Amino acid sequence: MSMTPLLRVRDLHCSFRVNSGMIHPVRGVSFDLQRGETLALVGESGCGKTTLARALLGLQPPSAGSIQIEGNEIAGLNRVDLRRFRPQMQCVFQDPFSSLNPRKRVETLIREPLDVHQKFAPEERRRRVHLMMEKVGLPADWGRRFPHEFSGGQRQRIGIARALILQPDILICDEPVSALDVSVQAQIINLLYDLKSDLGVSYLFISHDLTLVETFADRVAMMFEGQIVETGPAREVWCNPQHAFTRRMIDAIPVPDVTRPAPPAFRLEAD
Amino acid sequence: MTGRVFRGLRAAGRNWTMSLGLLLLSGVALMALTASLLFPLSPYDMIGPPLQWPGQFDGAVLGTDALGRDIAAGIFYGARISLLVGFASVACALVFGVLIGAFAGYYGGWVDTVLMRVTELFQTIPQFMLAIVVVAILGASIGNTIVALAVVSWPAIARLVRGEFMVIRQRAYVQGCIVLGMSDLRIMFVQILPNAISGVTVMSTILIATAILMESALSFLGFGDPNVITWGTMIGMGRGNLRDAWYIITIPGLALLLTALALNLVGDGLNDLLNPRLRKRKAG
Amino acid sequence: MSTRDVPLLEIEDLRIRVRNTPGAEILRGVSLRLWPGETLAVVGESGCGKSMTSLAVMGLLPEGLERTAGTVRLTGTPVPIGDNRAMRRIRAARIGMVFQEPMAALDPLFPVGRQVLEVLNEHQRLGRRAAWARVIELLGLVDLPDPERIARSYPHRLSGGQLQRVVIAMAIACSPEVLIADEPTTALDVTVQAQIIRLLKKLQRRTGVGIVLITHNLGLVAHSADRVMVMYAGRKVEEADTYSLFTAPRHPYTRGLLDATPNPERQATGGRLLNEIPGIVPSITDPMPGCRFAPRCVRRTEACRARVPDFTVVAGHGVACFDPVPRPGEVAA
Repeated sequence: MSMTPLLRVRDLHCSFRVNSGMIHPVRGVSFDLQRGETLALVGESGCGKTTLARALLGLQPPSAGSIQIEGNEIAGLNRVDLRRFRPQMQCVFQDPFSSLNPRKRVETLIREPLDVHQKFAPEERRRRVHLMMEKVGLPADWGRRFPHEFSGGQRQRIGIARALILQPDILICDEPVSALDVSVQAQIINLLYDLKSDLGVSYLFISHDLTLVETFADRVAMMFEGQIVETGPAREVWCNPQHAFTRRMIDAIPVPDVTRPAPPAFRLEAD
Repeated sequence: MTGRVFRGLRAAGRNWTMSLGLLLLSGVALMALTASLLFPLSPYDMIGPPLQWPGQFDGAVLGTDALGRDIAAGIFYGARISLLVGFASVACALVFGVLIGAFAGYYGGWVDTVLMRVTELFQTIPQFMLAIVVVAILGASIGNTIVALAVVSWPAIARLVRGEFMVIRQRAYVQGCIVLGMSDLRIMFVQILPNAISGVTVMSTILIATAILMESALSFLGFGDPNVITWGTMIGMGRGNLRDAWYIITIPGLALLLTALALNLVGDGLNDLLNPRLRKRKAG
Repeated sequence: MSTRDVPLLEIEDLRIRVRNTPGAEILRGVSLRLWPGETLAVVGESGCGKSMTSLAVMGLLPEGLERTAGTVRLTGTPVPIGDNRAMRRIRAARIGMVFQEPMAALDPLFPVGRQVLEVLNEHQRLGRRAAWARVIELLGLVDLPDPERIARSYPHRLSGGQLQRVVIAMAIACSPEVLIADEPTTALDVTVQAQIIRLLKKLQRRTGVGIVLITHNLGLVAHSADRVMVMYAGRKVEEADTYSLFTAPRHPYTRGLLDATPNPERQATGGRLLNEIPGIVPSITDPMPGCRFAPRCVRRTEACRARVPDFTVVAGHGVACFDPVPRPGEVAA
């Protein structure tokens, strides 16, 4: 393909100093995210997936490597220069409780991105906020409420509305449903899926849950010890894992189906 | 819903102390406001015979001091100075302390190191000594007393604000604001500060009480403005008559005690009211 | 031996409410039985009362909550769950507990071996040497490599999985009859989760301890529990052996929960990615006269909103629903 990918990451390294010395959570990660695609980044805790997300969002400067949005390099930019690219890439956080300012009303929270980038006249901003609330399934007359009046799932809807109102090309979702109950998790995943075709946004979906990703993502990148060890279509990775780490993970995932044998890691004979 | 009912009950149980504090404080404020109406003469004017006990002389309900000055007038006019100095000095300290604390806590790194070393420098000098030195250098006037007390009050505020900012800065919503491309100043003062202010509010009331006490101590030692009467001046001037006319220093002393107590009660009440840990506690 | 006829742990009609708040009930009459050598999974989403049930059994109700009804029996004898002093002889000695956050269950200031030792000293009279030898033995029992070294390590030196093993060692130190594991693997990675579950099963096979596994993860339940109890908003809505519950769930909530769980081996029906359960869990103060799942239920009838359905058991499969999901092959009513 000769088309420039929406997001191109090449040989990205992140390292930083902690009390006990240098740590190196991301060790040479490369991938492309195409327009309209959902790419899932899957790994266990400490594999570097969250640091990678922070680097992409400009919250943590990478120590080496390149990040390009439609061919524009953003890896070395300072925060002021980065601001120009902000509307193109937004994010949804894991914790629905700490990711919204508790003292702002919902309509303010959703409108703020437009205020910051001074898009549209005030009247148009209001209209778009209402439209966005409708799209994510929040009753329009709840705009005057504060975040603490909402459940976890509803707060995550507010977070999604806030991230998508700038009409970004890329939405980075960092474990957006792992703090939610199963039934609510399904609501949010379905919502994200519907919004994707509606708004033409591409997802980089960071998760520890391969079963969830398998239903939702087009492509999966398995991350292990700071590197991507395997990529492929989601179904392919699930059915035919290539890397030892992927196999070990799949062997340990309990599928809620009693008619199949227990996954190998659950069998007592394995001892 | 349960939370709200709980909160209401608990607040009612605790808040009678806060109401008492507010009542006392508004009493002091009323005294300050009505001083010139009730006592058109200067509190330094002689209105009757000296050393009249409270109730002894008709023109002075609270008696007169060694020079025949009305103690009640002194108390009323003194209330003005106490409140003015207390609130003005803490207001100045707030502006400065919040700025320093916000920058140190938000940016961290060397900004934090430099600003906090400066703050510690001020904190290591005993507060009262520092206040005396500042007044001694600038000269004794109300304005300079306010400056001196602001100089000794701001480090505590700066440290508190820095701590709050360091914690809140790590919250996901602040990270979200950075990703949105919000400017640092906007994040600091629109997004973080309103969430950090409750602790500062509580501390301010206590600092006002401390400032009022310190102002009295300065006046007592003769570092106050000689043109105005304050509770501290009254105590200072009355100490010669401690044995025979103890009421001269007891009355302004009581006024001081009640004002400081009122501020502490209000501070306590505010703490319960604003403390997110108490407020957020929900059942289930 | 008649132990097979007496349940290890029996809870009857447990009711817990918020003190001083009318209508705020967290548990609205929960009963369960745990048989010797069995693993009973208690499943439900946040706010269903599953954790509160375990805390009540341990006599560890948080402040502000009170028990209005209900008894707990351990091998037939009533447990004095309201009496904190008496409960100290039962906790750890007869009922062990494993929590979700191993880091929070351990004191960061002491080596983990010493913390296991403390549990032993609380309940058993052993010489110093013998007690320490038992600590090492316990740490070996939970498959920690080099137990001598681990015993002298501080909590922050160990991984989450290792810490959870230490907590399990503490829970089984006094050979309790019942082990309550409250979301024991939720904070862990899937590979570590499998190890911990396997460890619990191994210990159960060896000692016959009865395990109450509290979890929200249906996949985990499918491969580790003998029986499952599903809770919703403070009530038990369904209970059955694991196979029947997964192959023929009767309560619409259980059905919905299973459908909402991502399962790569099954395609979602109805054109959506995942089958969601619409709506949210009702507030604990919501004075709903009928079934608390009714507002979210696809099968609700008039009766559901008016009365609480009884929990009826047919052939070992209990369900609290007026119009349960028909069994496969059964004609819908």
